[in-house]
Amino acid sequence: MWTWLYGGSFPNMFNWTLNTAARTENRGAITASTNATTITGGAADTKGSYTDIGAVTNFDYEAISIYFGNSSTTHDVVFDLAISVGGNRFVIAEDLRFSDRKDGGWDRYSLLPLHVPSASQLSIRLASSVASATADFLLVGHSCGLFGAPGYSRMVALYTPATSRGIDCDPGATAHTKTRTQITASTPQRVVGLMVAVGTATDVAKGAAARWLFDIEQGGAGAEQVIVPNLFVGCGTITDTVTQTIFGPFPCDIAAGTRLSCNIQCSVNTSGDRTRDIALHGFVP
Amino acid sequence: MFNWVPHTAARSENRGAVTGSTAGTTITAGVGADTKGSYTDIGGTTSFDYEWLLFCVGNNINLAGNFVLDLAINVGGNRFIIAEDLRHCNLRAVQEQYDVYALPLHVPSGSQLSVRNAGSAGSLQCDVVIIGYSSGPFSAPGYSRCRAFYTFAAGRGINCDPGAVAHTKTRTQITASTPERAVALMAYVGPFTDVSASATRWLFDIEVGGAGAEQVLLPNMYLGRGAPYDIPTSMVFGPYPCDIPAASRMSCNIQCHVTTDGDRDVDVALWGFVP
Repeated sequence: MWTWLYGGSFPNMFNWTLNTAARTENRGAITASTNATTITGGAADTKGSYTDIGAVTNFDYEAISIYFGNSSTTHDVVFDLAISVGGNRFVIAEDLRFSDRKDGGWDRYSLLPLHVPSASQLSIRLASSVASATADFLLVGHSCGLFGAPGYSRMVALYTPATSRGIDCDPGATAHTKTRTQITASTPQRVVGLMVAVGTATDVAKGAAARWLFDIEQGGAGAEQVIVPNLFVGCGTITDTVTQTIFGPFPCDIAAGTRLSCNIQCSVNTSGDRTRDIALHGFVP
Repeated sequence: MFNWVPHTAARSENRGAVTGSTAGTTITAGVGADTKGSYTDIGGTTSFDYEWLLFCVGNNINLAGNFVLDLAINVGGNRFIIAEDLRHCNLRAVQEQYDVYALPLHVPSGSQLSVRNAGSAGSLQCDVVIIGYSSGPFSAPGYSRCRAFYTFAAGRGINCDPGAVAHTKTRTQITASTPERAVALMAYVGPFTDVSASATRWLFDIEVGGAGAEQVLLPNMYLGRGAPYDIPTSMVFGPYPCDIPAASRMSCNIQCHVTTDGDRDVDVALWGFVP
């Protein structure tokens, strides 16, 4: 602790780690079968038991990447990433989304800025829209984040999953015109990073290629302010679904108790084809 | 030290969205295959310094194919490429695929963003939307530029074939020598030429080092696809923290659970962020 010119003690800064110190390790890969660790859900839309992902961590992680796919069936999934340290389990990322409504979806959260202490046991549990369905997961831990940054303490869901997916956002029957849907009435904590996952809602058969532009907003009804303007995503008639797309985490500063919404427009107005589901997550400093 | 900006100062703005048609700004490749076309401006000049940006690409409408795109800024009449040969795959059919890059790059206020592309066939078109942020995650400032660590051909990355033995890794050099030091690494995995595949999954390492002395940077990343998709459904990986000196050799060591020639192949592109 330093003393600075204005009196008192110099505030504690990040425990800064240079990029040159970056290490990585994998947890959960099964190289003999080119596979990852299988997690099984409970009853439909009910989380199953935790499954450990590999051995305990060898060093402090300041960022973590999650890769997943190879589902046992087509389904929607939300999953929790937890750490167990000294016998206590903490959820550090809750209700992460996997939209796998058409067979063979695969996705990843490329670099979640989360701190994981050395010697933690990582584990995952999931809820699926189909009882006892499975998906495979593996993790890569990074000893520092981008810019050598330290990880946040945890990531909280800023939505309430229904049938193991995000909040359905219907752009309405008028093409190229935005319609707003509330994602959460009140965020549970202050967050300084915002992540957006776009899923296919329930649609797996599309009549025409479709495109979306959508804003993520904060603020009370009628007083929304755009945080992320006009994100762009689309899909065609062969894949039929938006292959799950992750945007962010975006820098932000959203106070606890904030209402969040999505204002979305679509190039087609066919009911069902035009609807996406949106899940939001926030990083807690 | 960094010019540190608190999170509370974060601003964002969109460049390139065309709300009247729910589309982005259309970029047209050069007339010849693998030939970059002219630059197209993406919206108006930037209203503030960006330290991070999202680069969304898709809506390839005229002919399915592969793309590489350069993102440039024009400040005071001089154009600089700040992200080169970003890869976009839309090989399956028109308007099928969309990609999103999160790029920790600095863009000065008052810059004109522009993009040009090359395609696996002449005059291919795709749409681009950019969202700029006044700070990066952790309020970090952006890097100066993003360099390609591969040489594209046919609008795609380097073919990596896991070989005819399932569950066994085969190494392919992506570049013999990186052009600059990089402190963040990004990867893109495409389907090479295959658009009709059975379900497939891969594990792959990204490595640095001379032949026979490779060191793993990113261990066993996981990717796959199902038969309905025919192509891998996750494309952009990272950026990840690293520190790779200039003139490093980069390679990809990949295994697959199927041995069918073609189905097992992918193409890999790498980029490094220059501090």
